[in-house]
Amino acid sequence: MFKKILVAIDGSKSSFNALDSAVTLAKQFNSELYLVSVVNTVNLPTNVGVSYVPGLTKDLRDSSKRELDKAAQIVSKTGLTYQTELLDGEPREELTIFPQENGIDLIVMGKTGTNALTRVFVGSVTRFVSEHSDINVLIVV
Amino acid sequence: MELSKQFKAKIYVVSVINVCVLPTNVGVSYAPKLEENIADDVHTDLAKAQQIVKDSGQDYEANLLSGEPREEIINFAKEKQIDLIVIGKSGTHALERLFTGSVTRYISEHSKTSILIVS
Repeated sequence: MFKKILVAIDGSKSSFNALDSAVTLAKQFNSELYLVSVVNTVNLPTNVGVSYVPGLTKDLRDSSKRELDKAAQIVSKTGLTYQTELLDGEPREELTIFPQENGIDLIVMGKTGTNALTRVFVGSVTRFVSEHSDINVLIVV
Repeated sequence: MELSKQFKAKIYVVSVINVCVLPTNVGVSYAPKLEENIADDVHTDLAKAQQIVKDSGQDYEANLLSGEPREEIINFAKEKQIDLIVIGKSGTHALERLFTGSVTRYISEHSKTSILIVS
């Protein structure tokens, strides 16, 4: 039923809960896991006096990479087939386009993101993807 | 059902009769047959779903609730300690077929239960 399951990792606790659920599902359905993080390079402060912050993108990428590695570590212990993907861009769009292009059957996401505000509400990325993607979405609390 | 087979989960098939948005203020004070008609409709759909699950030989329970669908589903899931709500992406209205159904959106935001939105 689910051959390819994508898990969106943003470093939040919620996204690691999503990873747990995805691992459980993947074991049952012998699915391949896609662990995906998106470096949000769209919302960088480009207009705040400085024209360019060379280290910023790198910092963001490094921190995304760390979370992705952590997730990969968890999955590698389970013996499941998986691959990791570090994308660049607007998370909503990347997480809508990537699954389509890669024939994903199920997107698993945490309910809330990493911001204080989105911890209370449903993360905007989760909401966007659940509304704009044609692929089944599992939102894990 | 694919999921419940794999995990040997019990299926709760649930329909809600929406008695909250009945036109009670349109000249007639009460339309006695209306609620009954809606109930019949919902009942038919639920019976159809129930039959499908029954044929698969899985453990299930059918529930016909009545009230505001969003609230009823959230409360039901809480009371029965449901692990996963499976819900369609779009509803039955023409408009909702284009967008994500309002019930689906509401539940995905307000429920403390994980939810699988099926396109």
